[in-house]
Amino acid sequence: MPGRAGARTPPTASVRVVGVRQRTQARAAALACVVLVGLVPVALDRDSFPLSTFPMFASARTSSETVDTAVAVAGARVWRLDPERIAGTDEVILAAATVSDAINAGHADRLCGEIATRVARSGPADASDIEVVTERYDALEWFAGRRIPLERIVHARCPVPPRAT
Amino acid sequence: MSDAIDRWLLRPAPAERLATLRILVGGYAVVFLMVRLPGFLDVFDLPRDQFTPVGPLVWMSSPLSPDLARVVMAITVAAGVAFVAGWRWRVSGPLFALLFLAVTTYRVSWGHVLHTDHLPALHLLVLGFSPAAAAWSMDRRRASDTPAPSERFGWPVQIMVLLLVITYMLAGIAKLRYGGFDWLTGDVLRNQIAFDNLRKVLIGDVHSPVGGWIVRHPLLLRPFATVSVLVELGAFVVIVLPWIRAWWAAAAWLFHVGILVLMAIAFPYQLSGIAYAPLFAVEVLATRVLAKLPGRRSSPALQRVPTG
Repeated sequence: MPGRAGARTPPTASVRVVGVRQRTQARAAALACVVLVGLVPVALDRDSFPLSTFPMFASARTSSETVDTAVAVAGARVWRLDPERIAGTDEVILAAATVSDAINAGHADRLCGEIATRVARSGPADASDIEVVTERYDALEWFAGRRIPLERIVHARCPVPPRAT
Repeated sequence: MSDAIDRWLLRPAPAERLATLRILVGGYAVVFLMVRLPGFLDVFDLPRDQFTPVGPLVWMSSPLSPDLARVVMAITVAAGVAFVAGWRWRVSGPLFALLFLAVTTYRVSWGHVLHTDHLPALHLLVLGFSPAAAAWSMDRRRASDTPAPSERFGWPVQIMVLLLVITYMLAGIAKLRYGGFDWLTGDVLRNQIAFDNLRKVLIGDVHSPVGGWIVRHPLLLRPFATVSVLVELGAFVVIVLPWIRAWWAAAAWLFHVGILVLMAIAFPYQLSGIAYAPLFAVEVLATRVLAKLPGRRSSPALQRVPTG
């Protein structure tokens, strides 16, 4: 990017040449920014990286939405599992995406087995089974203390393998 | 119009301003990679059939082997250290910018695009291909002089400002485009906060108790929603009214603090304040800090070159 004047160019011309080159580069970079970063993602309506429509928190959600997740169970007891145990990642959104992908692709059983293995290594000691589920709550009601699911679908259920002693 | 754009874009800046941004943004990126290293390593072990490449990696048909991905991470961090030091800049500048873009793209190529790394990746691309090591760098350690303020140090800074403005405005446009004008009344935001916190509860992650409380008081959210959209859509004011940039930066920073408090979601680049550094004469502050370091020779004060 830095302009470089020719060694034998007179000083005044050298300054002018650098100025023209810089102006051209600067204008091209600014135009590229506006078009590539600003206009293209909006025109294509596509969220990608590093070009994006930046749709964080933008979608018109209702208060009742579904969440794909996995839980450990033993009888009536239910333990919430963290993203590490669900998907081997510490990103909550990525963990949710992992569960959704497995359900949509018909791999819920396989994911269930992977989670059970992780739970056997370091999970709730009393858990007997893992369930891969879709749960739907009214989120506003949930935070008001009414925590009954509107809907609960179990996609896969598998036993937690015996723990190594 | 064209002259006004040129006057804004081609404003001269000291080499130290670009150098300070190199150190700040590059330093942020290196620290970010090291702090988030466990998260990156986790991603390398996700199921291969979950790999959904995006952006510059869309051509990939399968993920890298986890071992190769770890090697790329190590090279990226090493290139980042050279970037911050300004060592062998012609190689380390573009190399780190491209590697950071590659590893952050790889990280979001598993079914969901996170939005925390877009702006630092774009800023690094500008810095990596600019003369950001013309001052305060290993490459210049034996140089006796510092280049005079020039447009060639100025316009990359202005491009960084432009990127900052565009990304905020796009976020504001998206809220109205996808959420409609209900976003301004706070109803969409209320549902977003409730849903996001509930999802964290159901997936066993840390959620915001403040968010859980505030969704039961929707009137409190209304001003936050309106101001959020105004701050994002109004980001262009830092270009047309430069005197307002500190106020806008403070408002944008507070907006991210609000997101952190209400949704337990951190945008570290913005929260660190480094995202807004191109708006200011950061070299002046850097010179003052350097002058106070023990055992440091006093250096001549920088000529104050305005931002804008």
